[in-house]
Amino acid sequence: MRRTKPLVKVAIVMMAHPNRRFWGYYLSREAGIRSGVLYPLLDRMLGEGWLNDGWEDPAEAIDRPPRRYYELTDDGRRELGALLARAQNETRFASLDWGYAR
Amino acid sequence: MNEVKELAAHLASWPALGAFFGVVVVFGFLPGFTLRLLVKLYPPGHVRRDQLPADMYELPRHKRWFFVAEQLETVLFEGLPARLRRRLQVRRFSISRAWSIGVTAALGLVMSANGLDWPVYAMFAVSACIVVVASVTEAPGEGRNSEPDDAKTLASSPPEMVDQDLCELCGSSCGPVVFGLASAAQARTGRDTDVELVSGALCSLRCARVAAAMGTHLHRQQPVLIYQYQVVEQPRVEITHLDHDPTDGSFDLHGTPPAAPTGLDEPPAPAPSGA
Repeated sequence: MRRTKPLVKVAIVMMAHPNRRFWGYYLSREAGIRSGVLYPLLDRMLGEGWLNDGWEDPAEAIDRPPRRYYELTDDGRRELGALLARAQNETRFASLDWGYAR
Repeated sequence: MNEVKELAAHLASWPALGAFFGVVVVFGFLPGFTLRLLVKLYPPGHVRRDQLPADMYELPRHKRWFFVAEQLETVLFEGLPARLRRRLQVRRFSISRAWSIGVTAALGLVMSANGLDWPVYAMFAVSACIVVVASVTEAPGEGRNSEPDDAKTLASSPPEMVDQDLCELCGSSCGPVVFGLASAAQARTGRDTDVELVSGALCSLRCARVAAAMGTHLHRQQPVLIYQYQVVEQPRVEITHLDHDPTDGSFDLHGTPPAAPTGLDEPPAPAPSGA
């Protein structure tokens, strides 16, 4: 996949907690990406095998529909880790908030 | 005491009640309603139809309108193309329709060569009517392209139930009830378990019996029974979407329990001698 700013932003958020589940809106908010960009990006990551997805257990979703979650696969952790390592050296990503990922 | 009465009267007044219900409608009902209308632009069965409303309900009410507005972009740039792709996969212009439009347009051009402009507009209108009428009245399955050309659409589709378009044995179209051979032990473990039809979906009890009689390999390893399944009504999937395992020719009806295992719950017919 092409290394774009949205991808790097999502990678930063996900790699900060590589073992947890992520919701679409949470990723959108934390990464600061519009959902019009985020959801197609997540689809591409799913296609690459970097993510698994699933639906929240209905028992956990009280008074609302179950949400779709995404979690990193082993491949995804490896690829996103490598992507972040490369992106850190690129000036166009220098302005990003790297947080714990640096 | 008078103040309490005045306050009660004020709260029960039409402007106060109107404002209250207005807030309820604007912040409680309309965001979800609008979003659910918007996601209708996605093709039926698309995962985003459920995902976006579910994400919205996670938000506090005062932020929902902003979320809905944001999804307008998502729907327009992702949902609409997905719907168009799906539409193009399912229905393509037939040659006869293209001829109709072409001839009509040619007639319009010939007439416009005589200095008349209105025939051009009329012919365009007729062409458009032909397309609309033909699209609406097209028989189900006509022009269906069984080989989807866009893997992205498939990837973004949910794991739709694998079903029944064609009988595995005779090839005829299956109805809402399908039959199949399933492991007796597996199918009886519970109504909510996934049941693997070792035979694939069959259109009738007769086809199931023939499959059992002819396909001795289907029950060589384990006893199987004929089960009847009520297939949940949902949009048809392309035949190549089916979760077909080429290694053993079996289907998984994900989460589809046997609808009526009793009554048809009989052992397969013995294989004919010499078969």
